[in-house]
Amino acid sequence: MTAAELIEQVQSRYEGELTEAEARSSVQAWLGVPAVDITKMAQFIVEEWGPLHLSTISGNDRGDHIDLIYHFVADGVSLNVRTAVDKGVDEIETITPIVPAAIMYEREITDMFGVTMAGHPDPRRLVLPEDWPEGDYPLRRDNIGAEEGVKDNGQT
Amino acid sequence: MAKLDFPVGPQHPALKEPENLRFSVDGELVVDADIRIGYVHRSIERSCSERNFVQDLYLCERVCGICSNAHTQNYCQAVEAIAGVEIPERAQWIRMIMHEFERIHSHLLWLGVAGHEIGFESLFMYVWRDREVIQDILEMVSGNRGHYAMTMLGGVRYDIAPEMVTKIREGLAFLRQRAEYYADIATSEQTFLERTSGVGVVSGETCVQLGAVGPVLRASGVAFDVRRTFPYLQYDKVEFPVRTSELCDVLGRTLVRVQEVIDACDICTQCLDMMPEGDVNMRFPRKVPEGEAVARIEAQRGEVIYYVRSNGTDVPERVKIRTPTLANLPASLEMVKGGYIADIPIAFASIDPCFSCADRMVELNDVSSGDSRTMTWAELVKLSRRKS
Repeated sequence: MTAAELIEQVQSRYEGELTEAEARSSVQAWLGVPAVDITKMAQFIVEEWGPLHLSTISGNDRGDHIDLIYHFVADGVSLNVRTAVDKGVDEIETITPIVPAAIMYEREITDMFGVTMAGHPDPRRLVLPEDWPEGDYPLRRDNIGAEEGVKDNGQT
Repeated sequence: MAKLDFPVGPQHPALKEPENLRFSVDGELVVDADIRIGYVHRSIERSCSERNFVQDLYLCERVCGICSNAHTQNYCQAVEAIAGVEIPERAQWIRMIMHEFERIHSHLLWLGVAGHEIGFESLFMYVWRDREVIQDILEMVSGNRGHYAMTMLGGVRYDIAPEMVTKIREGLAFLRQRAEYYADIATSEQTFLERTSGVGVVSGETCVQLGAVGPVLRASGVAFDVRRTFPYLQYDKVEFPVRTSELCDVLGRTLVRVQEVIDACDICTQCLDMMPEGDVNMRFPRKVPEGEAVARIEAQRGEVIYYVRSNGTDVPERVKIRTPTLANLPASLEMVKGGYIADIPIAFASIDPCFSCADRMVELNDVSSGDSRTMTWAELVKLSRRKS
């Protein structure tokens, strides 16, 4: 299957809002959904293309919101699903019950960006130590190193 | 018998990379396993978005000491995709050769470690002696035995000179022959079979569900290889099989890796035959236009994925890295469940984890009585060898 065919299939069969749908090459498809629809999209992808590979979830602080990109491999196509979590909301539903491979990546996102995964089966910290201060998220752009934790964040 | 909770790691003077593993055991059987990572988190992703594209090359090289070349290649692939730059053809072939050299050295290193973990020291000695051949070739080509610093934005740093080609061909012929010998040992040597066959079993279905990659996934019968699914560089022009095994155990993973060494030798020979003359690098713009790219590569341990976003300056906005060990961890926990304590070292080693498995501190804690005794990783390995 090519990326264009995949996009076509999504557009004709997925019932929901798409904020983005683009085939950037024959093997790379990009989709966007609102944050509230992420489990619906994950469910759709799994139903259409069976148990599939989730490579990782990338987070990126874009100022007023945090971009989450779910990198799937569906039927030989690199399928990237983007969603935006507004700062202040800081929560999104977990996809781990639908795609078990997400378990570690979702914990990493919670650690690094402070986006809580609602309903996550194992919401412990993944990479940050137990005594890391609450509310301090290393990959947020407004983070310049907390009083405790990172004392000198390359600022001096 | 009461269940025991049994932590392994994280701190030990001899540990190179600390991780904390926790096992629940019932007698000799492991019933549950859990892992705690992050002891060597170096904030490379954050540091990447505070340095420019060229400086990041050096950071990415140091994500891993074994697959350093795969990381720089993947990073360059992502950045070059954003910039819309096509590197010279000779550079692409040299990148492929380096990529396969690294696979050979890493798989041989792993085979030696696997031999060591089950107490098959002569295998370890032989394999590591042969590995010197590829290390010498890597040093001849790049000047370094590790952290080759061969890949740069816009190509590769050094050319492969004609007099090197003869030496490389000789070395590859030798390594290929040795790899065939090791494949024979792995399938016929009783000591090796008893300790690997039926150990660390995980089904293909579970592997896909849990997102496993590389030889772990292929040894469970799933033919997923990035070089075939998303061909990069010139991989669509060379011939190589995607090695799989239906065994789903440590033996299967060993066979897949040894056969990949043979294939890597063949790929290198094809590259040397097909490589055209020409430039090996080009001028790369300091500023990268706004955009984003996802790049995948089949490193020796499995799929590596980079997501890079640029905002038009000379500093990337975001560099996201996912290494194969993180992807394989959930599957590795499944491998040890239901197995024996003595099989933990080889089962964990079979995913070729990036954190060192050597010399850990183990504490056996009896939950019901509060009794606790301490055991070093060396003792655990000794227990593992007694089984052999």
